[in-house]
Amino acid sequence: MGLWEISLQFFFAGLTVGSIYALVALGFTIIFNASGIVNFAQGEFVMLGALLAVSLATAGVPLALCLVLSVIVVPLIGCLLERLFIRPLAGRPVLTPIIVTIGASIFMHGVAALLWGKDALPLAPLPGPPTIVVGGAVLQGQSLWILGCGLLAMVALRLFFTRTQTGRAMRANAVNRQGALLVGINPGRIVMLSFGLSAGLGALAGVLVAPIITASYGMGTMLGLKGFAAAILGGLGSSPGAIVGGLLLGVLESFAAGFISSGYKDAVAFVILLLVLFLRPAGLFGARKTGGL
Amino acid sequence: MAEVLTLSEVRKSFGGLEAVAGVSFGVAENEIKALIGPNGAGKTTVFNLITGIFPATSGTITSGDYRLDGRPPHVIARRGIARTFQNLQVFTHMSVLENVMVGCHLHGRQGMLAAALRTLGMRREEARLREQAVQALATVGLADHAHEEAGSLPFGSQRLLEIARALATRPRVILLDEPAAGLNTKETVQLGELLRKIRAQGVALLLVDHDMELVMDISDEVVVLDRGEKIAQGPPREVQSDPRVLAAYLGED
Amino acid sequence: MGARRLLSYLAAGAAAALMPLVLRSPYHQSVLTFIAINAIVALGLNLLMGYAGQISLGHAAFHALGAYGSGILTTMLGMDPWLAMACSIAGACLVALVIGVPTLKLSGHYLAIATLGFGMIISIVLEQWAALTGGTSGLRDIPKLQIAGFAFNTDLRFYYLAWGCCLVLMALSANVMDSRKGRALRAIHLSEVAASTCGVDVARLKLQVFVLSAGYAALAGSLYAHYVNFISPERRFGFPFSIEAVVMVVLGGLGNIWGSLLGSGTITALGEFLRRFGDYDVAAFGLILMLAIIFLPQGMSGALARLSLRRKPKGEGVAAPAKAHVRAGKGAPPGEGSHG
Repeated sequence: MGLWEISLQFFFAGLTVGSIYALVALGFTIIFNASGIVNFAQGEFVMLGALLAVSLATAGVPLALCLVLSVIVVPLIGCLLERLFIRPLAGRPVLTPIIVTIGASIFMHGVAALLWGKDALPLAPLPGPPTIVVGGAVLQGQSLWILGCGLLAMVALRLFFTRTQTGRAMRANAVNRQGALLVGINPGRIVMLSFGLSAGLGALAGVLVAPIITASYGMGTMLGLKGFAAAILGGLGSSPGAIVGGLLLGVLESFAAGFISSGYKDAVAFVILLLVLFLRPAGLFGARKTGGL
Repeated sequence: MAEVLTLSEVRKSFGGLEAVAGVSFGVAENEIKALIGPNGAGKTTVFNLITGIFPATSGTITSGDYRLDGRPPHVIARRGIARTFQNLQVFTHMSVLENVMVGCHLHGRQGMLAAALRTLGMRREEARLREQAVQALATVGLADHAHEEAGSLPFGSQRLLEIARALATRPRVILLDEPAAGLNTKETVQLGELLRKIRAQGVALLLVDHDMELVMDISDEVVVLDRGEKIAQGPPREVQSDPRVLAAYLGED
Repeated sequence: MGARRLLSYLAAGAAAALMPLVLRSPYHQSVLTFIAINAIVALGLNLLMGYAGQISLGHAAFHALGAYGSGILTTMLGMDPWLAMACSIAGACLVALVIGVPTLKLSGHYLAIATLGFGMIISIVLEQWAALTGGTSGLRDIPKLQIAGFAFNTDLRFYYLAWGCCLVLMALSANVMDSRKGRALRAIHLSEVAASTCGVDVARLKLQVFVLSAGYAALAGSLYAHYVNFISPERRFGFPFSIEAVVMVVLGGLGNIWGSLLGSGTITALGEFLRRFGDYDVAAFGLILMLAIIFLPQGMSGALARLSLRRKPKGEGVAAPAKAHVRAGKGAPPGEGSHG
């Protein structure tokens, strides 16, 4: 394979994993916009989505239905998390929700290990050819599903935020909390919804990526942290930023792994994270000033 | 008389909004000067510019020979500019005495190592700083409350605490941001006496306040801002009857 | 040193000295030793988080630098362990200095994230740079510490070394918090703006305490390396330990020196205790963590202080326990006519 083909391959691989990062990053962004909280448990929603799908598939449920069910059930867990552990935190300093969501992440980690064990569990890819050749580069069939579903999810989100009452209410709340209160929007419900929505995005990402990397109780940690780095890269609080950040991070990581070193691949995301924070904390699309919310 | 603080053509823009549009005035030694104007005139912004909270867009701020503009707040404090805050920035979870001792920070030199080992030098310095702090507290009348938690003091006392803390820095000029806000009549009169006492100790004062009685009573000179510009400057009586000043205030409501 | 403080540390020293007579098994002594080592990390982090009001989610990195510094210098270069320890601590402090300058300009979430990112990079490097660090297999045969032939090669001996270091550091830290610099530090936490107008060089002091806290973590890392004589990147030197350290500080009580010890003791003992529940330990830890944070906002030392119900006069001699109050911004800058 020539340089062009290899680069193209890395590019597509990067877009693929980048779509996953983008979905996770969107999850962070939605919760952050609704509540100002950074949800360190976001990665665990990815993990739960994947493992739930695995269980359903093992029970004989058709693959597409596994995806749908996963994306419906995990948001419920997200809402539950918000209700039980985030709601009581009103008015506490910034550090508290950080620790609580980290605690939630540890908890979900532990529960997952109990329910599903510590092994890596396979999930069948969605129907279609196992590999496709595009311009000399070899793509996994699942990659197309990831890109496609990712795109669909983003379009759906956009429609939700612009065309539905609830979605517009969430946007209003993000822009001006006082004003939203005045017109009768219930902020508590918005926050809970944001957790549900983000959990759903995470679950979707999990179900889509599990066929490629296998599902396990630990898969969420790195994905969560990298999705987070992507959100910062794009600008915390910006949805287009999350998407661009995710894709960009995926591609950069892929090229770094391919051309420099695959062992240090994980470090790429964090180096980018630090560079963004040191040089332009607002990220690519963020308008907020440095230092806090 | 020498000026302890001089502003010259100071401007500050926030994006498209020009909050301070070319303001010039000075504060002389032993002077009590007031900075007044309707809401939004730019008074607190001027304070923030002087103390280095944010940089001026253009113009110069000097204290004697030293350029203050563009310097960080702690360097400006070192040059003898102290301040109190409109929205009270008392160190709530420290004692009253400790609050004022933070004001003495500049007058100590002992570092962490000496502190860790509690060397003789460090203990001597601590005693000296404590003495300075107690003096400042005595000046404002809070000496009896030295060991209470600052956040538990009544509002008026917290205002006095900020003044004591500012005094402890041994400044040449104190910027007082609405020191009378929230005080009742009696407290305001006492404040006026305190400010005169401080001036008699050799500290100049620049104060922003909406309490016109206090301002007119104790100020040597008044500077009036409106929409970022200086529209009048002079002794209180003069400024009070200046038609431009009246128009600015009346126009506000 | 204030008489009361001296007395409490002497009492603690006596208790620590006598404890091995009560708990004779090497296993218990080793748990207590780990408590002391962890307390040193928690102490340094407390100075940063509880007193100065900053956040670090990456402190395991400095701990690792201390441990690996000692490990590498002694096993690969044959350096004297004490010298290696000094070098490792200095190295960790240098790294903290370099990383601290840009990082401490951030605050709130951004600061937390930056420290997290830094911590992750270090732990990945430790895993990957196998030639230097032994990669995932780790470093073994790290020599014991010794003074003039007296080697700290039993659990009991190291117990005394660790607790000696821990208590001495606690006392020194308490002294610093009660001094000019310590007051300035606490002031920064409560109002950066006001502190700076009092002449406190906020950026420099934050950096100093960041470097100091890194030094504490590195010292603890060195001690760990010479105690266990084997280190590997796994849990101890990565994100999980950074979180454990933060939990120790917050649970013990931010801004309270004894709280660091309390937090370390609780979390270390809890970890050991939960281990016997086998696979339930992680889930249980997460649950306990969430509940503790929600119901004990001032940490355990705060809860204990409330229980005793005494309102101690806040005089000098006792660093007043600050509330668990790490703020998102730099303290409300005085606004134009705004009231909070």
